Amino acid sequence: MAKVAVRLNEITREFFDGKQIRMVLKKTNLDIYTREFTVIAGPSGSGKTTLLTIIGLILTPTSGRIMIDDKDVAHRSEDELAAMRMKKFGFVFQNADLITALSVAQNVLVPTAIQGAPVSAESKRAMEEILAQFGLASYAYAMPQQLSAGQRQRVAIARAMINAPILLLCDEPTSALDIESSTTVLDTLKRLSQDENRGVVMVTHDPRVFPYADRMIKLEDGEVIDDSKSGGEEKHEE
Amino acid sequence: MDRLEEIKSAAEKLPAISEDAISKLCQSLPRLVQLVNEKFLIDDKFCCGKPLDKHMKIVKNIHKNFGDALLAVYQFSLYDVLIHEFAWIVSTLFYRDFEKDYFPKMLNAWIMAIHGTIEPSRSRELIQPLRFLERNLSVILENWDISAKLENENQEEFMNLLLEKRRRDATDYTISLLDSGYSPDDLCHGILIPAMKQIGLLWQKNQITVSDEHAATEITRYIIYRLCDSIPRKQALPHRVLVSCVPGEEHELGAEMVASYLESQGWTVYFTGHSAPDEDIVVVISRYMPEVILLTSTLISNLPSTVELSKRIRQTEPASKIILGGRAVVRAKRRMQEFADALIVDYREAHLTAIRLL
Ligand SMILES: Nc1ncnc2c1ncn2[C@@H]1O[C@H](COP(=O)(O)OP(=O)(O)O)[C@@H](O)[C@H]1O
Ligand SMILES: [Mg+2]
Repeated sequence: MAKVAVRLNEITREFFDGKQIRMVLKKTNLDIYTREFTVIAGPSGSGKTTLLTIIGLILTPTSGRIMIDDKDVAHRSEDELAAMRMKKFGFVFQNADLITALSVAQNVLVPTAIQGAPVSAESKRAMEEILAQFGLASYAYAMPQQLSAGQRQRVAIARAMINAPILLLCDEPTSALDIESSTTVLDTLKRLSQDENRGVVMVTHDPRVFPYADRMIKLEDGEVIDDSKSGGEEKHEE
Repeated sequence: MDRLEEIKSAAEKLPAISEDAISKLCQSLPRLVQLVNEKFLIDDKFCCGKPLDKHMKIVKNIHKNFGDALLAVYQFSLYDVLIHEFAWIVSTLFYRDFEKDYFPKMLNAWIMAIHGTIEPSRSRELIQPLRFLERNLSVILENWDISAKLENENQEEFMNLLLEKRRRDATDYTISLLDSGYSPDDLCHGILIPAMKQIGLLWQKNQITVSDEHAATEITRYIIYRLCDSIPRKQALPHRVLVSCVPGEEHELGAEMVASYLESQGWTVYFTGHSAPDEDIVVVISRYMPEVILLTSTLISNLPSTVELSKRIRQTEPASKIILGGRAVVRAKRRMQEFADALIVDYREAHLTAIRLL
C-alpha cells in the first residue's frame, strides 16, 4: 500500500526580491505518496524547486504545516530538521556534484558520515549492496572523473539511497544528460519508486520524463494548476 | 434519458477551445501519441499489475485514433461526440478483456503528455474536456455493454450468409426478396444496412474478426451492384454528381450506396471511392464539372479533412453544390452545416436534396 510520506498543509513561501515581497508559492495542499513517481512540472520560475526544497525540509515555508508521521515539522530547529532530512530524504540534483577527491564508494557513504565517527559496517554493506544493484560494483574505487555523466548521476542516486529514504527528491536530474544516460537514470528512479516504503519526486521540464510519471503536479506562477491525483480539481480538506 | 445521454448533454456546455490551442495540439499530436504509448510501455516494464503486452498493438491503435478524434472534437466543439467515442473505446476494449484501470490511466497519460509538451495556458484549455471525461468515467464504465438485436428474420438470415462468406447464396437471397416484391431501396435500407451495422457490432463485441467484417463488406458491395443492375434505369437526367469518400476515409459502402442510388435515379455519377487524395478529387471536379459534389465521412477523425476539402472546392468551384453525409457528418450535424449546401442523414435523401439545390 502506498503511504503518505509528506503532507503539505496550506503551505506558502514568499521571497524578498530586493524591492518587494513576492509570493512564489501560493497556498498549497499536497500529499506526497510512496510507491509513486511524482513529477512536478512547470515553466522555469514557476516555483518547482521552491516546492521540492520545502518538501525536503531544505527551505522553510513562510506559512503552513509540513506533516511527517502525523507531526508538524515545519518549524523545528535547524538541527532537528537536518537530522530528519538525512533520515527521510535523498536528494539528486541536475549535476551529480560528487566530491572529486573521494572515490565512488566514499561519495555514496557521505550521507552516513556522522562527524568524527568511523563508517559503520552496516553502512558499508548498504553501500556495496546499492552499488551492486545499480551495476556500479566494479566502479566502487573509481574516481568520479573516470565515470560518464550518466554513471555519475547514478552514483548520486546511490548516494541519495544510502539511508533508505522514504522519498527521493530530484531536481532536473536528467537535463544535463544525453538520451541514453537519461533513460538509464529514469529507469533506475522508476524502479526505485515502485516500493511501498519509498517514493520519487522529480522536478523537471524534460518531456522524456512524463511517461515515467504516475502522478503529475503542474505548477504555474507558484500555483498548482493541475494534479493528476485529484483529477485536476481543487483538493479539499479531508 | 439514460446517464450516458445526460453526460453528453452536460459535455456540450464545455467551452470552445481556442484556435491557437488546437493548432498546438495538431502540431504535437504525433509526439503526444508517442508519449502516451511510452507511458504504457514503461508501466508494463516497472509496475506491478497485469501487463498489457499482448494488447499493446491494440492499445497503440486506440491511442492514435483517440488523438485523431480528439483533434476533430476540439476543432468543432463536439464534446458530446467525445463521450460517444470514448464509450465506444470502452466497450470495444472491455469485450477484449481489458482491465478497468486502463481507462483512467489512459486519460491521465494524455493529460500528462499535453501538460508536458504544450505551453501552460494552452495545455490548460486542452485538458479540460479530458478532465470532464475523467470525472464522468464511472458512468461510462458502467454503461459499456451494447445490446443490439436485429428486427426480423430476413435481416438475420442475410447476416448469417454474410458471416458464412457465402457470396452466391447471399446474393440469391436478396434477389429472391426482390422477386417477392421488395424494392432495391427496401432491401438496402431494411436488410443490407441493418445487417452490416450488426456485423460492426459483432466485431466490436469481439465475436468476429476484422476479416469477417471485410468479407461481409465485399459481398454487400457486390450485391449493391447486382441490385442496381437488376432494375431499369430511370430516364437520364441532365445532371452530374461526384460521389467520394473524404480523404483518409476507408469506409466506402455508404458512398457506394449513394452513388448507385443516384445512378438509378438517372444521374451521371462520377465515383472516386475511398482514399482519393484532395488533389485528385479536385482534378476530377474540374475535369467533369459536376453540379453536385457528395462527400461522405464515417470516422469523426476525418471531419477536419472533410471541412478542408469542402472549403477548397468552394474556392476552386464556387458553382458546385456540396452535400455531406456519412455517420461522422450526421453526428456533427450542427457544426457541419456551414461547410456544405446540404447534409443528408440517409442515402435516399440524396436525389431530392440534390435536385433542390440545382
Ligand atoms: N532565494 C531566493 N530569493 C528570491 N527569490 C527567489 C529565491 N529563490 C527563488 N526565487 C524566485 O522564486 C520563483 C520560483 O523559483 P524556483 O522555485 O526556483 O522556480 P523553478 O524551479 O520552477 O524554475 C522565481 O521567480 C525565483 O526568482
Ligand atoms: Mg528549478
